[in-house]
Amino acid sequence: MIEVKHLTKRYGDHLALDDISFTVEDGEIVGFLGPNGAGKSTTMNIITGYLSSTEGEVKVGGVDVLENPIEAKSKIGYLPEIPPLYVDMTVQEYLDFACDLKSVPAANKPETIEQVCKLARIADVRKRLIRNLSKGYRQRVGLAQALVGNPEVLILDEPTVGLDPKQIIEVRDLIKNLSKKHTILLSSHILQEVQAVCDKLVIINHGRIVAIDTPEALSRNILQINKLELRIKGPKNDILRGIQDLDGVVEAEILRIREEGTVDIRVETDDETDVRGAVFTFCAENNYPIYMMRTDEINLEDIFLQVTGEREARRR
Amino acid sequence: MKAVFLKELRGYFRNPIGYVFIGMMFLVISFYYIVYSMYYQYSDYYYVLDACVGLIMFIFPILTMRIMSEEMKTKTDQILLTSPIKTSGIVLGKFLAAEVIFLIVIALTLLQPLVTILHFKGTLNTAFTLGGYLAFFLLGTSFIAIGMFISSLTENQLIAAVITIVVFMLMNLTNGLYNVFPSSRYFSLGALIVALAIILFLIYRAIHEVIITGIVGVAALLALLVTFFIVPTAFDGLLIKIMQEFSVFERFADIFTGVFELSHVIFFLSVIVFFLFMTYQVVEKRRWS
Repeated sequence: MIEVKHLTKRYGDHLALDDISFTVEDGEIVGFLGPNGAGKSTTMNIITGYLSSTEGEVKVGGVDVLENPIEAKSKIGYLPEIPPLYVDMTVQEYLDFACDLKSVPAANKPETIEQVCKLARIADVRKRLIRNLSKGYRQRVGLAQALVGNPEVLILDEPTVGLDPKQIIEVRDLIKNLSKKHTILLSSHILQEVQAVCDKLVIINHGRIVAIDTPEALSRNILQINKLELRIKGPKNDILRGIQDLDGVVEAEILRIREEGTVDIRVETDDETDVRGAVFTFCAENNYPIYMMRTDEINLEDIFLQVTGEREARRR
Repeated sequence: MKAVFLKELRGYFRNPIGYVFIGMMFLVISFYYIVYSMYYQYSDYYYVLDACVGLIMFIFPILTMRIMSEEMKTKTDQILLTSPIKTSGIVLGKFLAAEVIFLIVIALTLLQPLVTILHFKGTLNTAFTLGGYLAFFLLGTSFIAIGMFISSLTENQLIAAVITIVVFMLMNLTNGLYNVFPSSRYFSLGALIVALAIILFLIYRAIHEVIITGIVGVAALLALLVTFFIVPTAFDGLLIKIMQEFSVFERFADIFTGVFELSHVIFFLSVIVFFLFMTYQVVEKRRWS
């Protein structure tokens, strides 16, 4: 549905995008992941025809964005990083204008607006000025605008930024729902957010693609079994010494004491060793109950370092 | 285009800009009307239209400063430029909406000559008044086109307003500057070389090609010098002639002295179309920068 081929964008001497290529298939949700300034918004702005690329081509539904912009744009609903809202309009007026822009026939307008308001859950603020809406509502009005005209492709630039946790979950559910009828490309700099909803992740850094894969495959690669946090009941020094003596443990230290009679320990092993079984055996033999065992949370930084092969370098 | 036009037009009345512009314009024109038609009892209404131009050119930036720049600042241009409409439709829609506001002002002033005829039983030179209105309309529309172009260059409304005022003032001043500039051929040549340098700089800014800019520059300079040595008389007073040719106010004044030619109308229309086209180009080019 979306084909991006050898996209390059130069701002003067600064190379914002360097030979980006990826595709989004029909009905897929693709997450576009990268730190701030990686080139996510630039790429999305080029796909939607807001910016032009220096080199490369973009096709949406088989239509070249540069050669046939009107047709390509009519297939896209776009929520930019900053929702393009006219703050002196009411939500109703704004969506009415969005309908006009997207050539929704006058007869279908009330129905269309009704529908997108329901989807984005903004029906209760339709009569209010956008100026007076909270950030969360504004974001959803922007989303409603993107949904007007029922476009085949939705491009959402950081759709959950600035929302509170409850709203984030709502938007995530909404996106999952929308994916039944739309092809979606959404960007984020938070891994968990895209991991939950996306079929495929495109990871980008410094204007280059560093990985394209399914979220499962990516997290399998970077599962951090070499960093553990344990909570074990028993004499703390004996436990610490015992764990330090296990094979492959590089470092073990007491983090804190949260529950009486237990101790929280952080364990780091070398990359090849999975020490979890050995920890269990050790505790079982000495009759120290394990209250908790978990691997470190994966964060985006680790993924970057992993896929760009910089982690080893950093450790040294 | 219709969507943008209606949105803009409603926008002028959603915030105070439309009211402020119409109110101030009407105030200034009414002031001149009271002084000229009522106090001095001039029967020719076009005196009013002619006289008020010096002041109302300072009011036009209120209307034009935000046309393009506001949306760049608030990033709402993203919804316009990523919608399935043409860029030319955006520019034209915005231009026509401002034009309608200006037409509302003109419609309001129509009362004044009517009052002159009906209430004061005065006489009116109909042809001159109509001609005056046409000139006033064309000049105002040119102001809108020029102001809109300047607005497209910056996302800061205040800067757009200041530049617009300065440009209008310079345009107005050149009318009186003819006598100040020496008419010597060397002065004309020097001024043209300076103008060429500015144009070359703009070309370089646009394309970032040293060689092409250089070739164009050298070729133009050679052409200029060769012409100068072959027909030096052509350069006598050339600068003043060029300034007169391009002076919007000169044409405007011409119409009021009774010199009404089709070429004047075409001149104004060319100015309007040129600046609309330039605005379109700026909006399109921004995507490539």
